[in-house]
Amino acid sequence: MSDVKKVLLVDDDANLVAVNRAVLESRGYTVTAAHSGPAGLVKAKADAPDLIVLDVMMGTNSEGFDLARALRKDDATKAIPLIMVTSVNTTVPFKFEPDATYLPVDRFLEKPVAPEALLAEIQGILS
Amino acid sequence: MADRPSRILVVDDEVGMREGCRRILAAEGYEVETAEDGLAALEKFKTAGGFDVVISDLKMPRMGGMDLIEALHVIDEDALLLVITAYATIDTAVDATKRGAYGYIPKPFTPDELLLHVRNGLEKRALRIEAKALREERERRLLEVAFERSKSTTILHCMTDGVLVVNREGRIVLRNAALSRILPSCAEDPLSAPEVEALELPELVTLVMEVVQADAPIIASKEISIGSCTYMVNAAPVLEPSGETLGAVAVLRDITALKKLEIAKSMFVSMVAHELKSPLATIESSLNIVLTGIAGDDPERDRQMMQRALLRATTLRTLVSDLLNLTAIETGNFSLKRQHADLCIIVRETVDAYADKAAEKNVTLHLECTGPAPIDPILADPNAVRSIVTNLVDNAVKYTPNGGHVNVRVDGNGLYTRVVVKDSGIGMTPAERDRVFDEFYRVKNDYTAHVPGTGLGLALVRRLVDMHQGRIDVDSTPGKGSAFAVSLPTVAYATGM
Repeated sequence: MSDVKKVLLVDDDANLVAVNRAVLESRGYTVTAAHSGPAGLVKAKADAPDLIVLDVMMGTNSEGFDLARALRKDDATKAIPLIMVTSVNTTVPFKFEPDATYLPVDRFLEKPVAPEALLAEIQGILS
Repeated sequence: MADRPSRILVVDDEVGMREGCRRILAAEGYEVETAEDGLAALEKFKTAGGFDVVISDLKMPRMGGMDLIEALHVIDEDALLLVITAYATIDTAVDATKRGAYGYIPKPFTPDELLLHVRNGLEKRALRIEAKALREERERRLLEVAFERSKSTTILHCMTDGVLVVNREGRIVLRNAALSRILPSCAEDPLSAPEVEALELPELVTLVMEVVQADAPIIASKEISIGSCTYMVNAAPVLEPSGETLGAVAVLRDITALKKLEIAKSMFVSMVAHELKSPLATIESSLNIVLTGIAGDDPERDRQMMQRALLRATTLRTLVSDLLNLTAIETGNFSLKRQHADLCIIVRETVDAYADKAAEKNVTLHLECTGPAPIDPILADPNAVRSIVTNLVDNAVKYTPNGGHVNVRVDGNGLYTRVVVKDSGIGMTPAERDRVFDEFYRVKNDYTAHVPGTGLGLALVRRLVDMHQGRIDVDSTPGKGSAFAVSLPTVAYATGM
């Protein structure tokens, strides 16, 4: 890694953010965090992260989806790779797959994601 | 009538005539009474009961035979009267029969003639009575049938389930009022027999025609959606006693509420699963990091990680116990042990227990429990009340940022004693406040992301308050704070004193 990569974690669970932050920071990433969709959008524009990891079910069942679409619409953020981590597939009766319009994300991972698995995904996208 | 001897009344002003007739008739086994004129005869009729035949002279003092006929018919319309007359002209005979006499016996007559007339008369009377009984029976049956039919119709139309009957050709031959409400299109002209297809419910048509064509006593069931409602439709053939299928009867029961319940239940299970999975995911990841050393080897950070995992495990345990309590309440397995309780004492104990936690956050926790008058005791389950107050104080401390304050006050109006927990915390929007008692609802923002909670505490509080016939009010402003007020009935009010 030539320069320090910046990762934005968007999740309403502060403990989970802390766990992932610990792993990523130990590997030299700079980590910022937001705990809601709107706050995530603000941070994404302000910090210009190299990658965003976001949760689907925050305040509403689709807050993560809404954030993903908002990020894709904004010129400043549309190129940032997105990894969506969620347990939404176990709480709604249908399955989600990434697609260009409704779910414009690069990876869709099922919670719980083992820290090393998330790390591998992030390294895969950023290398 | 063969059981008892026929009773005959002989009315004549001549003793010889009376006694002569009596002897002749008594010898034949009849029970005979006599009277000397019309009035005496009427008296006999009233005091000695009815007679099957009255044999009467026409000309008598006080009341003659003609008048007796009319007077008798008032008492017994089937009374049979034979007139004995010495003036046996056609005129008097016609006159007597016009007035209701059955026949006449011209004087003089032989015993056999008398007996013949009496026997004929008795036979006539028996037939008349039998015919009358039959007529009455038929009328009663008709009335019964009419009543039964109108009873069935009334019951059918009062049913809450829709009833539809079609014949073999698929024409609607009967529909009740409930069906007309479910399917307004089928309410018009009750005399027409439209095709069942006219209902424009292909599923219903298929179901009833399947039953009609099966030609066997089968039962077909199907859930059918009509508008925003769901109906369970059960169809069975209408069979003749011979076993031949005449048509089909379908009953439509509204199961919309049940369907909603089913959906709510499965959503609840999904929510529970999700709420259990989230803390477990954090605990799992924390343990993973410490055990694999994937995030490096920093003992202090590992300790913090374990601390957080422990906190989440505690939350998880609270969640399970709240869930069990909620379920117990819902299923009626949670009973209150009500007794006289002092809300001030319970509140003070709770506030004391939270003193350290508040101090840690630099939140001032203030208790105001001294009103101008002594606070009335409540009739409540102390454990349930403790749970209510603990939840409110815990929330107030949790959702009030450092440096804020929480004020707890107990007051009352004689009917209710009230505890108000007011904080200077993060507050809620009206939309958030409306959902705050929903199971698993948690206000989500950057502040609450760091606050552990199950989303069940207030749901439990509300149910416990409801069980006490109390009330809970919320007042909240985003950024300014919230106030939760729980009012519980006093002993005096609850016991009607």
